[in-house]
Amino acid sequence: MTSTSLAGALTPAHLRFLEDLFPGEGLVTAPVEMAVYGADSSRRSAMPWAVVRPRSEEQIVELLKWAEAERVPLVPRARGTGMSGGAVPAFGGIVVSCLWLDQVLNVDADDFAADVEPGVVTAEFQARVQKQKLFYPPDPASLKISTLGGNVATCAGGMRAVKYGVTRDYVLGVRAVLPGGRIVNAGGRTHKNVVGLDLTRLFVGSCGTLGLFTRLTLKLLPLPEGSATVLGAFGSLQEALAGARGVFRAGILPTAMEFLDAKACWAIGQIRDVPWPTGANGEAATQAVLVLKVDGSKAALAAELARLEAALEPANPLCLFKGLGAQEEEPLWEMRRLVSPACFHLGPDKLGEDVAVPRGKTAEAVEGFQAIGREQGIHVVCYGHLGDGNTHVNIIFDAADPDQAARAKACKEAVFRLTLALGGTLSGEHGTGITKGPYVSWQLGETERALMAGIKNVFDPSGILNPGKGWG
Amino acid sequence: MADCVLCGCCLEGCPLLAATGREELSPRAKALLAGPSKWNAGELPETDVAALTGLCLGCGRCEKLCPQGVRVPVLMAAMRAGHPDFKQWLWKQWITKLGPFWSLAARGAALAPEAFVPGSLGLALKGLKGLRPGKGLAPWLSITRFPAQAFAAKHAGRAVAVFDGCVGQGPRAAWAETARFLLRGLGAEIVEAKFSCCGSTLGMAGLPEAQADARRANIAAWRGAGRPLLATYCATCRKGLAEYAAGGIAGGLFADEAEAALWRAAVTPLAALLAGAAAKTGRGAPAIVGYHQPCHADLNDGAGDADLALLSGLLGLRLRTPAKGGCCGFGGILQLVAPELSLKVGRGCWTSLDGALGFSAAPEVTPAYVLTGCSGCAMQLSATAPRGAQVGHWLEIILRK
Repeated sequence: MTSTSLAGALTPAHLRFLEDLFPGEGLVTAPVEMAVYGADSSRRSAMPWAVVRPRSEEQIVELLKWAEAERVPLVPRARGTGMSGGAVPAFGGIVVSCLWLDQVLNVDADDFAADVEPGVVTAEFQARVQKQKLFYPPDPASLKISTLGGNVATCAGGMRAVKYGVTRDYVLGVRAVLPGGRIVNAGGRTHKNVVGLDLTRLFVGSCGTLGLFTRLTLKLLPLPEGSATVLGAFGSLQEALAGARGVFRAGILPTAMEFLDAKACWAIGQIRDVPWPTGANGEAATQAVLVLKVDGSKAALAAELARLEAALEPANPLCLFKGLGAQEEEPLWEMRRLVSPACFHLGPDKLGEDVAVPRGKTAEAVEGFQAIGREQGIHVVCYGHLGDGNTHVNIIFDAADPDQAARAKACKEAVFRLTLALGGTLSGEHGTGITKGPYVSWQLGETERALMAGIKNVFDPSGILNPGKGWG
Repeated sequence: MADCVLCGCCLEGCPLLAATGREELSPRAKALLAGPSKWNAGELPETDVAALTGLCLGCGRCEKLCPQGVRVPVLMAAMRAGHPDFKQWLWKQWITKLGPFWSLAARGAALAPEAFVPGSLGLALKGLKGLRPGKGLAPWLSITRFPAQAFAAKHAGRAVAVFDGCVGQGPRAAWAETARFLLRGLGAEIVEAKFSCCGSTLGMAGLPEAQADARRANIAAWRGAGRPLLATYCATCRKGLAEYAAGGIAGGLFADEAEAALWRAAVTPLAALLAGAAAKTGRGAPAIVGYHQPCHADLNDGAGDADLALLSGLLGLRLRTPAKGGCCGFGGILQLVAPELSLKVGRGCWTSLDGALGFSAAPEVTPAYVLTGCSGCAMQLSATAPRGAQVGHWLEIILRK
């Protein structure tokens, strides 16, 4: 990546240019107002040089012409809910907030496609298309607070990935502005398209390093009529994993298949009443929880629930809770969604990893991660998308204690090594950002990294877009 | 207090972020700057921090969403309290000086030419004009059945005092009269007590001493009246009163835990006492009635919004509520500190009301008609209402006979 010649700060002339291009509240330069734009859910932060809020593509074109000429780094940002610091201007630059580009441009029930601006909140978009009996499946845990632009930039995953895939499977086209002000129209509105290289996929998950999105074309599905959920508690991790295998062997493809390990169950119990046995009254304590969802026609769901129950039964669940329809299901899923914040009850600091392994290796991986925690004497909480092999490994520690901090780092590296040894990947859905950036070379070879650097160079020859978030 | 972990769960609920798209106004930005967070920005000038973080509606939606238990409105109040030259003096004038003269002030406001009104007071005065005495909705609903038996079964032998709050004591004395009419209908034994302001807004404005004075005065009045039930018809007053006992005896307001528990059980929405009432509509009833749910409606710590439940029962299909009810933008002192932000949130609220009521399609045929259960919301909605719209507390539609 060429980043040696980038500007080191904004000059008065730069600020005058920005004031002209982004009048009024479009430009933010007061440090108190900029502070939040330098932080994200990775809990890393750096003060931006300035923040701009474009309202139009024309402004973005002018901004990128200028930034390329002046070698000023730009860091695209939506709601800043990423977990790996992708939106943190750790290497300086202007933060470009796309929250004023928040229009759903069209939703077409015959094309099964929609055009949106990047600042649309994902859950609001889902609610909007649902009115037309359409379905946008990607559902990162942050869907109520994150945006489609951010989801595409990080190729956000989610719980439904086991059946419906991840964000990249729903992006038909991307319109983006490149350094110098060039406009790219990648992909289109058709569900099939093999003319030329797949530039759309290059943009998805590129973490704002290739261009600034101005319009996304998303694929939609017919909305399933209903859904049902089963939550099962198990006396051992092995039994829970056997239950999960039983479900697939029975020929059921669940919409979501999530699991929580013993420590995750305990942490959730610290902030909410939990439905599973905790051992507080002398009963066998829950060591793992599975939450499964199925969807389809209303007529078929009751039968599907019975099949799920039968498939889980041989694994000796301690208890099973069933919910038919959103209202009954919601409290069961609430448990799963709370786990990430609940982990802070085990300690004040956390490294949140999201490794993925080939699906058949999940049991081996989770047992290995838990053993690493025991060896290092650190809380390691495992939970996540059991169905697709993507496990969230939360390493909880107290950063104020240098010894704990060192052991937490050792844990993280051991988790990475084990993941790679099992043929897995360092990040299933969070992206590498700044927290995992230094480890990319553990996974990607020199040839692959050189190819990626070459591609980056074609889009962004001066390296002004989100510097430091690469694959070096 | 718990520490912000920057997860962003609060972003879902903040009306200010939704209306402006300015992330620096989000609860997360405020927790980052003002909270005990170790991820805070550190060396920033304190007065700048106070000014920015002061731009908060105090609606409390973020605290309901926060998995860590961070209470941004409380942080904001502490911030304001620590900055005496902050604009809270304006609100103190408003509440403490104008308080006894509300009706007079409202009459004056109606006469004052806009040009003489200081910019930041403009919207607030407009709200007051909307509430000037004598102006209110014409009543059209007769209560045909009072749930007197249920009331007697639950509260036999317990007297009821009405907590009227600043608006019910002032420009909307009709609310106070209707509240008492309804309680008589229930067969309740009404006792009168001289209550002060509930103190909510004083606390929000960073005036903890004035808030504590108001609280002590109210508890003294309650004791004097024989510790009766406290019926409120303003959601913000209810929330404010309920918070007296939130910390048990730790707040130093109550003699012992038993008295704190008695207070907790005493504070009740008037609408909850009326649950199960039946009514019939008379002449002048609008075809479609909107309900604006106050942010401070009792959603978590009770059986849901009692005002909405009562109105749904009384009005049936006539009543419409926006699926995603927005904050009206009143926000305690925000209206005085940053009226343009308050107005922006207010516009968003009317847009969602329009989505449910459809009044903008044919305003001559079905003009906007909106009821609420909070004094602040009633003021703000009056101030921001589109032309021809009618706004009021639900008490105003009830016929007293």
